[in-house]
Amino acid sequence: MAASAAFEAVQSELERSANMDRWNARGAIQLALMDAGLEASNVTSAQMRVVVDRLLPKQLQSQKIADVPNVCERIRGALALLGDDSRADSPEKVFQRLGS
Amino acid sequence: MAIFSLVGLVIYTLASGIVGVRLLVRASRSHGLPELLAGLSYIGAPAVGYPLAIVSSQMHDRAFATPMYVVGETLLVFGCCCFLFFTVKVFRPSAQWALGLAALGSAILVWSGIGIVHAWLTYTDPLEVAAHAKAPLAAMVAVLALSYVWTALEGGRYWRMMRKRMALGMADAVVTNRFFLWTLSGLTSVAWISVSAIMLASGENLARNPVNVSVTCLGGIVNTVFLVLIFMPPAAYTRWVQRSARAPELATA
Repeated sequence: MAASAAFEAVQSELERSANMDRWNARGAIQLALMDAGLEASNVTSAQMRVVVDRLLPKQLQSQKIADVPNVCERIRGALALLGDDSRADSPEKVFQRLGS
Repeated sequence: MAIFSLVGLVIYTLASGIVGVRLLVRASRSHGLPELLAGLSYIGAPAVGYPLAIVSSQMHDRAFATPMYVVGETLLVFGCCCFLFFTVKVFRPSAQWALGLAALGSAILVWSGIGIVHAWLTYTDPLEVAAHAKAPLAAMVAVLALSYVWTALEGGRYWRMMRKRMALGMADAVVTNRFFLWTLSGLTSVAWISVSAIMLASGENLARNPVNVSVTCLGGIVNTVFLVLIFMPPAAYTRWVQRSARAPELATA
């Protein structure tokens, strides 16, 4: 299943800034997303920012990544470059519309 | 029993019709496929198809009952197919297996509908109709039960995810509650369809058996409550859900 642009951006930044390989980076993000109740296929950049602030540092520390605050700062920068990706449909948005 | 069945059927029909029309109106404004599929599903199956099939099967004038029965079964099958594709479109939009499963379920439903209508058109004695419609009806009941199990599983999975999001301040309490209600609605349908399956296995005519019609209608009334709370929640209920969600935060503040 294809991952969202926000997921791909965080993965690329982890590979670049933390020297993680593709699968370790994806695994760390997936675990953080699971803790947040989010899915790789439709996570938005706004949601990903919360994950980076609140959950990803723990995952990176458990993988012994050096200078986690700096890595997370670079990830925030990469997410800020993304356009508005909040228009894509998700179960949450559908159920919000259905009852409004 | 007959009056209870009738009252239940009327309540379920009216509520499903209102919810279905509201969803179709919303779909015409938003051009959203989920709204369209859900609206067609509620109009097709519980609002028009099921009552037509039930009422026509009780009538003695075949000339009048037959077109009603055919239209009723057709709409019932159409509504159930829309419901399967609603689940796919909302919860598994890019999963090929889910699309395949919905297509397979729909094919079985169409085959069942044709088999049931064929038995009705071929035989006039209700016992003969029931005997020859038994296999396709069993297939229809099985697909319906599985489709609602799927609905409940997807709703429950998403409800758990939404609760985690709420803990991080990323989700609204009312929308989270809608997934919980959706799960309960799926489970209620599984329960009533299971009763139909038991009745069918013991040789009962589902459309004419008062216990089955009553259980279906009771399930329909319970589901009506869920539908109203999901699709047109009263302000008092919305406030209660928001207050309940804030209560733990206030307690720990």
